[in-house]
Amino acid sequence: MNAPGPLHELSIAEAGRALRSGQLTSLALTEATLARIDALNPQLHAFVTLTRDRALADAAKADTAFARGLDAGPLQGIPYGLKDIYGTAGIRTTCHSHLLHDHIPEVDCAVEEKLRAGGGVLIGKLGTFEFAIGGPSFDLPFPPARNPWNPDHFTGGSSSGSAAAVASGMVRLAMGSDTGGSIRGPAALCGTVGFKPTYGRVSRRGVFPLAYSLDHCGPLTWSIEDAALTLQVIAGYDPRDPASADVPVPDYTAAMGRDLAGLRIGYTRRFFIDNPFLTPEVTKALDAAAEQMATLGATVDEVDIPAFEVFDACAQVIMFAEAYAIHETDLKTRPGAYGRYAYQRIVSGAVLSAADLVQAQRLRRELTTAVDMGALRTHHALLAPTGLSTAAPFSDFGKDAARWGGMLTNPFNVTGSPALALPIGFGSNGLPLGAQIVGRPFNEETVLRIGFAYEAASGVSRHRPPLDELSKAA
Amino acid sequence: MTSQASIDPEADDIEQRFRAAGVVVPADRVAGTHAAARRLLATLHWLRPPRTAAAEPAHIFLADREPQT
Repeated sequence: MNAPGPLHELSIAEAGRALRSGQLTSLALTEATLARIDALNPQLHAFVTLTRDRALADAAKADTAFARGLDAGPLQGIPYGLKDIYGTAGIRTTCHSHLLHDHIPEVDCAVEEKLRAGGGVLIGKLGTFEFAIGGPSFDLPFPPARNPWNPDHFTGGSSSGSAAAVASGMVRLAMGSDTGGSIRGPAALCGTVGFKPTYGRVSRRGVFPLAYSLDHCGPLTWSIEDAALTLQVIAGYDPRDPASADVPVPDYTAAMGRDLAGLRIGYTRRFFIDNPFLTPEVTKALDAAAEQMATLGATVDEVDIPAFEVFDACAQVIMFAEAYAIHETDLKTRPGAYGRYAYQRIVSGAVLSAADLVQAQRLRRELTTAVDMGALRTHHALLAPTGLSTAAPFSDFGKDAARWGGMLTNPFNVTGSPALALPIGFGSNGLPLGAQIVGRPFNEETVLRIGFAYEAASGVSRHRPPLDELSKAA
Repeated sequence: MTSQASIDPEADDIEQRFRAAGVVVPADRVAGTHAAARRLLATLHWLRPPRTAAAEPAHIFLADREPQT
């Protein structure tokens, strides 16, 4: 049997074709995945728990299914990781916190149910900022994940291990969560794809909440096509998630491969151009991405959306009010069980009033209406930055929680819009730069179509992190 | 916190808000916690222009606004 190239560079789509043609077995793919994790994880700290025996057993089951002609979908036989806030039956789910260090759920979360039913192979659980909010902390049960493009830099967060695992080729798929940008931020800073679907598109049942009304589940992958294949498996109505939407799930790959003719894309340049955190290389890369999309056939022109500061205020107040409500008892009774960053950030929600939260919720409706009835009525999608600079070094983070500026992701948690993060180039320090494509509610397929066309034309994702030295050091 | 509160009304306000919520911040985490609270409270002026009940535009939504100073 001839293996189809370096296995860690195969996309889900490519691996799926090799599995179905008999060129590759899931067992071989899973063994190679575990070997790469063994080589790289001691330096990158992406995984906090490995499910080695179960993975090998599930891979063998997938191979048996292929041999019998049974095909449960595009993820059958594909190894994946879950952010460690995704509840997994019989497998430790810590939220990267001393508070839940020995927590073993009795049931799987909804996403894991779907991935498992789809024949996926769970490799393990991935590091996160504590409770999906703290920061790159060193006072937690596990060290923070490191950026595969330069391990002296952080990954962004909170889906830190997910981004590190995908960027380093440990896995092709890692699930993340996004309350203010926790999928798209680390995806951008680690040069991967990260997709936050529309609020309500993917069930959050069984995933530890950060803020109920802003939380989204979604994938981090190396390619746009892989994000679409994953969404195909995990999307759909779940009556046991109160926010789940009963909306039909289309074929997400159907529109891929088409050019962008007939699409109108709004470039939100005035939204970020005066932001103090903006670096010239981000502006240059975004301008080039807008031009590339126009070359691919889209009509690209500038549009206005409300100011970032207004979105940010709305997002912060809602997020911290809800997060404090979730953690109130533990914050009061065992504050020392939290790391400094998570404690300091979450407990700050206690200073808000009921009136503050009500006003933020009213503003949320205003902002959502302004975007959906404004720029997203006249345009099929928006182009915006994810972050305004490359990943910061760990040395920038001090003893106490600080907010690193320049992430422009939380506006689309406020609106609930589908938002796709994708790499658009590299800074002068060799670290990735990213953009996001934002779509109309439940129109993920248009967002994916734009991302797919841009990805193929730009060639940015053909670059890989320089990991040879890390592998040799193992 | 007493000496800090006496020279910093904002710190006094934050301390009072935590006390009202029943939160006792561990001594070694006070500085970072208060800094996080200050950042959060600083966003509030974006939420709603001050107005009287008579001027309240119920169920009318306008996103355009200037920060209140």
